[in-house]
Amino acid sequence: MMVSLGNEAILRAPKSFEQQALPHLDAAYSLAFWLMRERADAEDVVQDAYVRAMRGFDGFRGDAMRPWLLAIVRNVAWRALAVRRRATNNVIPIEAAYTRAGEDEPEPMTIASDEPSVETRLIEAGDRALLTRALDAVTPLFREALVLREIEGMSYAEIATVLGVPQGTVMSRLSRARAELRQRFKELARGTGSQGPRSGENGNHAV
Amino acid sequence: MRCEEVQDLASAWLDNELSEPRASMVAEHEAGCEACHAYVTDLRILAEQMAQLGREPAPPGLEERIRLTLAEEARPSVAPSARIGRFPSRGTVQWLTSMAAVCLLSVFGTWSVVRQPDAVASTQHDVVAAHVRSLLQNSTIQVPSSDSHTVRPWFAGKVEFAPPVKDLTAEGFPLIGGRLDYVDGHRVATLVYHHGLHTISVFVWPETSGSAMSRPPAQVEGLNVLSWSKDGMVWWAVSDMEPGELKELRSLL
Repeated sequence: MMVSLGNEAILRAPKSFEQQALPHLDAAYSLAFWLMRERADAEDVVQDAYVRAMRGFDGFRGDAMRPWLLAIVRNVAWRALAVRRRATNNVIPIEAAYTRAGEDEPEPMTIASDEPSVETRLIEAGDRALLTRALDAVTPLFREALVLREIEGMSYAEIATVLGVPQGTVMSRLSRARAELRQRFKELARGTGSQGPRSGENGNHAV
Repeated sequence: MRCEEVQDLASAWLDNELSEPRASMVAEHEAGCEACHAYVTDLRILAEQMAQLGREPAPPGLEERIRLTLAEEARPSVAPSARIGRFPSRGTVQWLTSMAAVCLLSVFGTWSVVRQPDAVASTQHDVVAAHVRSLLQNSTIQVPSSDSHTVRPWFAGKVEFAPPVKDLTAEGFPLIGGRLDYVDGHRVATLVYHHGLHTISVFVWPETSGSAMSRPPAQVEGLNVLSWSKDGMVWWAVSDMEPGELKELRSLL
């Protein structure tokens, strides 16, 4: 049988799973960390994801490793979050958002239209700690979309692959995610006293 | 365009993912509306700030641990003879190795399928399906309790036998609860354990004559399956845990 293998076949031999997947370790860990918010859990998730990815490597067609790998990381992380939730018997409101998203059109979050405020420049550049806390407060479903877009710099098409949803859903999810991040940031900024009280401006201007 | 619409679309607009004519409509509105301009500015600053946060780097040592795990994982399916030679190019060796593994697997697979009695195959199918179904639902359990004295009586009247229920929290396998499943046309008791991040379904029912068996671990759809007989009961354990960990659980039950 081996005799029939031509050189051509050998040349087409794929790069090994390790060679292709390990360069994306930081991306994988970063996503897992932002979902789990626990270093040890994130490491478990990544390790588990790599084993699964290797087993499923035959199904990988070789166009883009990072979205394919991150999709697995993300699925393992969500399963781990569900286990954690059950284990602690603690229903995080986050999960409600997740369930709703399954129906594709979650009820509007009333964030965007809620305060089209004229407060100027609420967000001061450079406050990493505040931003991290705001991101923590964002529901994981939105947080993962933000991480993929802003930190990984992925296109909507790539994010759609990772999340396993249509591109239109990526668009609306990112829109709501950014609105929520903005709101959390403002709440925290207000709470820490670095911002004045919210101004009363609340009207919608039709054009 | 109303402010609400503009703010809904602002995110896609900033990403240059909005098509015409909506992109121009957003741009026009944003230029003339103070509130929407402030909103868009907020989003832009937040996006820049997040990009600056950067990736959370993987901790040192994780890559090495993953390499070891992957090597460990690959070992059983690799033909020993193909692992020795490293003189041809790496790619060739790896390719030949994987071909050899595929041959071995297909031979072994055919052999085990031919050899496997239909009844066992259908039982295996049932328990794997039950495990997967439980994971797809909101809860893997119907009676949540880590107390074996709560779980055991719950089964009374639901199945015609008293399943042995043990809490193995101290051993690293906390009992989460129990549920009923339907396997091979019978109601069976299922105990759910956790181990780290893994969920394990342990199915148990009384042995009938000739059903006693102990089989090597099998892998079905990425799940590991282990079955054995003990104390007149048939046991099946299904999980995404490693086979070694399943065997550890078997020795505890």
